[in-house]
Amino acid sequence: MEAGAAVEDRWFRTVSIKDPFVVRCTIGFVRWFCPDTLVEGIEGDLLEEFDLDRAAIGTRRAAARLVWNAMKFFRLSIILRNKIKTRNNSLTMLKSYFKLTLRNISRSKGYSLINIFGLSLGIACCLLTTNYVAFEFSFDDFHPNVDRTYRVDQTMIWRPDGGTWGSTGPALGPLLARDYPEVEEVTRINTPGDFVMRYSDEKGNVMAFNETEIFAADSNFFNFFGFKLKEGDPKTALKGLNKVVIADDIAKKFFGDQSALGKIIQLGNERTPLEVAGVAAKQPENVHFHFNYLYSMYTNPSIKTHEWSWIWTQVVTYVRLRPDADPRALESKLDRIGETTIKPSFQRLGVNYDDFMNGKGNWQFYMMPMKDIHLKARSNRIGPVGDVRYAYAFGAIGVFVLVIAAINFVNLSTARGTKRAREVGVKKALGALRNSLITQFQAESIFLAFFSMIFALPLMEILRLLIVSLMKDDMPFTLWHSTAFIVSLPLLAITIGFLAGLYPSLYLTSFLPVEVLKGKIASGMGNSMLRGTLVVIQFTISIAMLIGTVIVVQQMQFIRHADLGFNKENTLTINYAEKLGEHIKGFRDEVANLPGVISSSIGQDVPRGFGYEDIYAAKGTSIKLPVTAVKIDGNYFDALGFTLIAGRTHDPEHNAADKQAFIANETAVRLFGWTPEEAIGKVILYPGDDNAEAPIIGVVKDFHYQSLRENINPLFFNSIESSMWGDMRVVVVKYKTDDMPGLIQAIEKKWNSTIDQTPMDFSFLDDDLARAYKEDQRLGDLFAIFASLSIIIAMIGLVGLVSYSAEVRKKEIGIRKVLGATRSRIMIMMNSNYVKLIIIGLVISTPMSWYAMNYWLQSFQFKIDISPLVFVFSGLAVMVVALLSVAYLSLRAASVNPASVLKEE
Amino acid sequence: MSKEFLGEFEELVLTVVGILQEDAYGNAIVTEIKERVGRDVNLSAVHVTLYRLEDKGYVKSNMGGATNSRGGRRKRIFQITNAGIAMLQAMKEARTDLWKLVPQLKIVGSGL
Repeated sequence: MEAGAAVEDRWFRTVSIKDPFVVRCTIGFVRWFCPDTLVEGIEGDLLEEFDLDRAAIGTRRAAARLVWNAMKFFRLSIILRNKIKTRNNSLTMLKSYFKLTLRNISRSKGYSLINIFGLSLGIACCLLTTNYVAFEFSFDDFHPNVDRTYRVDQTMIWRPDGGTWGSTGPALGPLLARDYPEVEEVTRINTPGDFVMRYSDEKGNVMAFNETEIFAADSNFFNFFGFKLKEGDPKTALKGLNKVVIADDIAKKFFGDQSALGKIIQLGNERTPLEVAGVAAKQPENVHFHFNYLYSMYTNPSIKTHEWSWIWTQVVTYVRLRPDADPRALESKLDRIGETTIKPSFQRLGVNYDDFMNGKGNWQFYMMPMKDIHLKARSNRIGPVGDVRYAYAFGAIGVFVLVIAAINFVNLSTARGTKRAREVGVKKALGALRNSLITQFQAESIFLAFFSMIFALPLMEILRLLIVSLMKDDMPFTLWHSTAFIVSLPLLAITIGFLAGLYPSLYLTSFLPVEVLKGKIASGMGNSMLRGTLVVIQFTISIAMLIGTVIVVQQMQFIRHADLGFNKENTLTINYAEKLGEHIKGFRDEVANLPGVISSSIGQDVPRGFGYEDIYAAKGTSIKLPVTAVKIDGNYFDALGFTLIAGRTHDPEHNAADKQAFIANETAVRLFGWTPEEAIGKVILYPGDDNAEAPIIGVVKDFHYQSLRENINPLFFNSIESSMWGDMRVVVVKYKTDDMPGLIQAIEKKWNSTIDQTPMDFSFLDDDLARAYKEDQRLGDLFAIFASLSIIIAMIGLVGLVSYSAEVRKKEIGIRKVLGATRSRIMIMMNSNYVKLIIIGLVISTPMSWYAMNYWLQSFQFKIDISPLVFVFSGLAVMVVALLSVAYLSLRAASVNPASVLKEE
Repeated sequence: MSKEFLGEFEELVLTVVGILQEDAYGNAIVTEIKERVGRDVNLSAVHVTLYRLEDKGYVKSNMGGATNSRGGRRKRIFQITNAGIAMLQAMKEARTDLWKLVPQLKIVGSGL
């Protein structure tokens, strides 16, 4: 017989072509799945059997039996012998790579630390922003069928230039439910305002709180929204009059551990009794509104009286459409409502519909998807709104910081190429294939990314706590509840490791062993072009973020110090002062006499976004304007420091006619077509009220009573004695005291002696004003934090690179010094490269950040001009930080004693 | 004795490997079992059992010389190891010991 290798060669070929096709296929299949070591014996046995069978029972049946026998070999205990073999093998390799990684880490601890720490920081930032963005996009997820639930928006009828908003009249909901078959369910939420809520227990003790987020809702509320009840029946809780569902913390506040069900709470000064019919379970954070009290709709008598009205826009209407309904088609059907239904209702108002709508476009309705309310709607009557652009901006920032960190990773790995080059050279010389080297470097990179991921998690928590304490704003980490997030963590580590390791592994394994071993690539700084580019990207991002921070901070400063046209400093507002009723004047005068109080006055509100608009006309013109009207007393005007530019202020005590007279702002006067001087004596008609026809007696210089995002809109001041609509009151206290708590206590004492069982509510005007810019302030803070982090990470990378280049160029520096270079020349040499890169980064980031920040500033009507100095400053700042970070390293490199580096060779 | 146990089929195959000596390979074992015990066993089952016995160290294998009859494939010849022999012996003794403990048993019902 033939022996050894020859046989081995032969038997693989000898599935004779004469054998039937099935047999050849079967043998091929057996070869495919059987382990190499076993296949020959198995095949031999099968074929032997086949030959015997063929002789005994004929080729066809023998072939069939062969196939059957062969199939029976296709079983786990055979197949696994295969797999286990290879799996064992790759596991061993993985172990070896892991060991190599650990060795490399411990061989160069400094670099590895920089590498891992930088990447951890980057991952931590990225996770934090991911969490934030995911949270922002998760709003309203928990409502049933949220994908076909909409808020009905309509044309903004209270602004001269229209627009849209999320409030409607109470008539819309019932109409939609009745006439439009595509609407499955409708619910409405009414906003009656803020009230005192009282509860008196069996012993007659009264508890009273000023409460907010009090809504009236239709009885299907809990069927429509995803909110759950802790106590009570969601189906019936809001059925019938005088029922209320309260939030769980409100229940705790009033009733402690007792059951709240059946208890009676009194609403407002009328002390309308409300029976607690339900206690809501804790409401999720990510909903576009939260409620403290939710009482049955018709408990608010205004609903019944305004049920016909389309301009009593104090209701939010939600609809759920049938699954097959097209919201756009419904919108166009709703366009008719203006002409067919709303226009006739205006006759009852005595207002001409076409005049009223002049300039605002048609009265139209829009389906605002509920999921979009939080991020995309511009108005939300019952809660705050976010801004999708901010969500995107934070997402981008997170990615940017991660990119900076990943670049460090790439740069440090390639820079360390020299050392690794030897290893590659030796391995290649010993026969390692390039592929296996690439695998090794990739594995190393992925392992490092994993280590970073592990460190990133605690680091993220530290960062989160830091941010929370800096911004005084909670930022819950909600992603832990998401399986997708947990699963994606290792995937993220693998992806980062793979991408960051891509270039180094390809670059390092491309060395030719001959050249490496001869020492040709010893500089290791080959390909510094790419490294330079990456560093430029890092600096571009960091500088752009710094520029962004500076501009946001400047705009915030501008807002804080903007001349609003009145004096907002040292102003204390006592809110809900209408509760004092008749006694309000007495209270005002008593407060005025307190030590530390400069003046005390009564007004309908302070200029923090007055919202009492109505339509006014000027006698003798056809112009009608929506004007904000605010009532003030005689002290108010001077106390807040408004400027009178024509006429005089109210003096109702000496001149009874002043009771109804108007002081108009410049904008109102201009829109009516007058100069301030002409305006004095002109008569204004208030169509909503029978007896209102009164002259303008003064003109006030324009001031910002809305946020600086808005233009200044027309405004009237009325006398506090005026008979016009509006019974809200505040007492405005101007103070100058070193003992703020004492003053507040004194005022509170006066308040409590004036009125029983009613807590006082106060706020400072500058705080109220700052609240309008909360989101922007947040943007500024977060920008600042992440810009600092990105600069820190970029600096970590820079320090790594410089210390490395100092190490590599040790000899070069030694020779230069021997030849007479001074220490400062060498320091310049070491640094000039990075200064160049920073300047390039600045040049690239300038137009980018200018464009982005200009876009942001467009959202303000009143804004700073972006000064070129901002860019210069940011560039210089980054440069100074960079030079400082590497100063020690370059100094050490430049101070080296030539003898000590040149002696070894 | 070892804590390893052999299944009934494993014991059968191991015994046959011991009987066949130099000629113990897949097909031969199938045939031998068929002839001696009258049991139709599956070729793949025998192979799997042989590999398992090899894992446990009771048999070892090597490739035999090529023949013309098997399409030129060599046979994988199995050979019982000392451990295998010890195992077989231990099992036989254990069974004999047990058998001795059984009181006089008769096969009932066949009329004998």
